[in-house]
Order: sequence, then C-alpha cells, then structure tokens
Amino acid sequence: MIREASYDEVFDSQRHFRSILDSMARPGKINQMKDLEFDPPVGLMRSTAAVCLSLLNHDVSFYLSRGNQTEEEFLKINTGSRPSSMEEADFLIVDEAESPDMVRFVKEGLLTYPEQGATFIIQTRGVSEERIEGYLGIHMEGPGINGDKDLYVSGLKADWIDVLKEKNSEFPLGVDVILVNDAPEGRLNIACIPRSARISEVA
Amino acid sequence: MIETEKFSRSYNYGFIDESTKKEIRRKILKAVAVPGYQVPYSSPEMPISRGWGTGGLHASLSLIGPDDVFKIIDQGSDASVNACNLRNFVRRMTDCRTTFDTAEATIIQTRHRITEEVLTDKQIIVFQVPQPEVLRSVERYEFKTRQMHAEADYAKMWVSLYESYVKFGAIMQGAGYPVKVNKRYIMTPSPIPRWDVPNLSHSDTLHVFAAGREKRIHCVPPHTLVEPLEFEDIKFMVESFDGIQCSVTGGTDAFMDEIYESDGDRKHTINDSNFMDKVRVGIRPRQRLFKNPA
Repeated sequence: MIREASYDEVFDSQRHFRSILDSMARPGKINQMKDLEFDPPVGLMRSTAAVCLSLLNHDVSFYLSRGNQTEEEFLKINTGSRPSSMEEADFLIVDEAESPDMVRFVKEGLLTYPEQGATFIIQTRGVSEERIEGYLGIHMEGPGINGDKDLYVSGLKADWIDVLKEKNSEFPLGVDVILVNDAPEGRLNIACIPRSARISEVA
Repeated sequence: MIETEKFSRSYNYGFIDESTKKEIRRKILKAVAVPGYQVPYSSPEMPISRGWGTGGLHASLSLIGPDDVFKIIDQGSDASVNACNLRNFVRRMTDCRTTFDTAEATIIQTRHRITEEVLTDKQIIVFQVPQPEVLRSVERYEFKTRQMHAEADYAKMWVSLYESYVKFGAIMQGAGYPVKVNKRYIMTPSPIPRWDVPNLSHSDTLHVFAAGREKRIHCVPPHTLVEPLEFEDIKFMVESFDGIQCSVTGGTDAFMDEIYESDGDRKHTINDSNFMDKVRVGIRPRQRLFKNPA
C-alpha cells in the first residue's frame, strides 16, 4: 500500500477541519465535507478517512473496533498515526452497530487535563436533522446549541445515549463524538456530540 | 533545477507546518468541547516575538484557507501597527483576501476588542490573549491554578473581587473582566473592555482565544452562557458613555476613545474603526447593547 497521492495535505485537510470544527461548535448540525478523490479500504467510510486524514498524525493513536490489517495499514501510511489499545487510544473508529460498552474503558481525561479524553468517530449509515423512522433520536442542549436540537442517527443502539451520559456526567471529563456518514452523490456528512452537550433520547 | 509547485515557495501555506497545524486543530476542537478550559498547545516559533500576537496567528493560520476573507484589528483599529503588520504577514503567507469590512470577513483576528458590529455564524473571531490564566492575579503557581480549575474552586477570585469593592467601592477590574463560561470554568475574555463582555454570551459566533507566549487555547462556542462575575447586590456594569458623542461622526452608543488635545481639552471618537467608517456614511450596523442595571 502507498500513500494516497490525490489527497491534498494542505487544502483538503483544512477544508475538512473547518467542517469538523463547525459541527463541533454547533452540536447536532450536519455539515457536508468535500469529497475525496480516492477510495479508502472497505472498513473505512470516505467520511471517516476524511476526518482521520485531517486530524491524525504521529502524535496521536487510534483504535479500530474492527481491527482489520488493511484499514490499519491505510491509516498508518496516510497519517503516520499508530494503532493502540482501546484504553490508550486518542481516536476510536467504530461502527454504528458496535455495543457501547467499550465507552466505559476509553480515556476520559483528568480533571486537571480534561482534553486528554478520547474522540469517537462513529460510522453510520445515516444522520439526519429531521425525524426518520427507525433512527435513534438524540435530543441535545448545551453550549453551541440555540435552545435545543434533535439529531437522528441510523443503527445506533439506544444504550449509547445512557453510556455516553454516564461517561460525560462528570464534566469536564468525558469523550467527544464525531458521527460520520457517506451520503449519495459524494456528500460526506458529519455531526458532532461534544462532551458539553446534555443528551437524552427523543421521546 | 527542479521547478515544481511544491518547491516554488520556501515556506508552507500559512507558514506553520502541517503537522503542527494538525496539533493546533485538535486542541481547538477539544477547547470547543470543554468551553472555557485552557488547553495547552505547542505554540510554534513564528517570525514575531511571543507575546505580540503569536497565539492569534497560530489559531488564524490553522483555521484559514484560500476561500477565507481575513480581517485583523488592534484595539478596534484596522490601521494600527500590530494589525497592519500581521495582516501583511497573513496575506503573504496565505494569498487570502483581506478586508476592513467586518461584515465581509470570515476570520477576524483581534487584539483587545470585539467588533461593535454583531458577528454571524459564518464568522470566527480569534483573540490574541496576553495572559490566559484568570486566576494568576490571585495564585502565582500554575499547578495550583490548574488544581483550582479542576475543582472549580474559585473562592480566591471571589474574595479578590470583594476586596476590590471594600477598598474602592467598586470592582475595579476594567479590561479582562472575569467571566464564568457554561456555569463551570472561570476564564478571562482577554483584555477586552467591559463594554464587550456581554457580547460573548449567546452570540452566533465561535470565539477562539489563543495565547502564544503562555501556550494556551480556550474557546467560547456560539450560544454559550457567559456570565460576568457579580454579587447579588453589586452588579456587573459596562462603561458608561452617556451624553458622549463621537467628535468625527456624531455617533453615540459605541465604545469611545478619549483623546486629549494639547490645550487640555478632550474629545471622543468611536474606537472601532470600521464601525466609525460606516457610521460616518450613515450606515448603522446591528449592535448588541448592554443596559446597565439601574
């Protein structure tokens, strides 16, 4: 495997970062990232690859819930980041079907250094600001949200909400979540749930 | 001689190398997720001295892309030395369009003011922060202030405000009035005048505070509660410019500079230069004005 030559380290990563930042600053807001010109390995969505290539480098570690050699190799070569255990990882890349139990074991930071809490990148088959039948509705309040906001995510089990709530209950400790989704026509969707958001299930 | 685009310039886009930009970007994301908390970051070497706006440059240059329109002000003015030099630097390093017009800018870097004109959700404002640690005036050691923030132990800060009131009959903190963000962290809004402090709360814009010398970044996301510290009976007040008119435009209800003339007379002008230019031609951009409690 070789590095993706079509990825522009300077400008693609900058554009992707601005979408991530906007979504992180406005929890529940879905942003469309610029599409990539290459196909990442099957276990990684294009949007996941975009987020990883924009944020990861040799200073941080990642964990793939479906620890596949090809995906791991792809991230190592393209970002310089290194794989690590679940308990140590700075970025955790998981699928929507994953059980949320793992959230309990990941880094939540220290009260003196809360920024050491991990970041989840959850690959989903759909995110929406409108209600969609069968999607998990996440109700959010807090910084970045004007009043309240609902976000609908496909395939995510309802206990993700309880586990995240518990993990983030002792603010500023906690984890931040980036939800990604490859929509048709090369639209790479992204939405975020930072630890500052107070979440509950939409009734 | 190899002539490729990559080597046609001797510096990276935005001056900072990509690896360091990534680090700063990750820190900005964490600072957004924990509003008001000061995230330590690398603070790479810049061609200006630390403490002269390097933090602001780090944040701006990590955010900026070719589509951005950049504005920079120093104490409200587009024309002061610090602003001009940093603007030239950013333009040369990024080829971005720069502007004086507050409404047109997508990234606004500022020293010691928030623009008078209300900012929108399409804009990001970056503050140059000299001293990010609001508790430094009451506690000298970093490991102790860090512990105090961890435990939300702000008793010393409250005592210092109380002592100020007892001594002087008022809370004397003028610029950099301490605020509580999202009911958790106390932070400094950087030395902006009190006039600007209420505009941090529930604004539409992302505020990024970066201190290059002290190597800290903190953020106030949009729509976040930011409360100036006040007592039940001693309320936070902004500067009063009642009955004062701008000597150039005749405008009122804006933060004013006081100018002394050689004969001892004094006059006032609107501090925000772009706002003053607009008022002068009869445009009054939208403002958020805070009313002092009676």
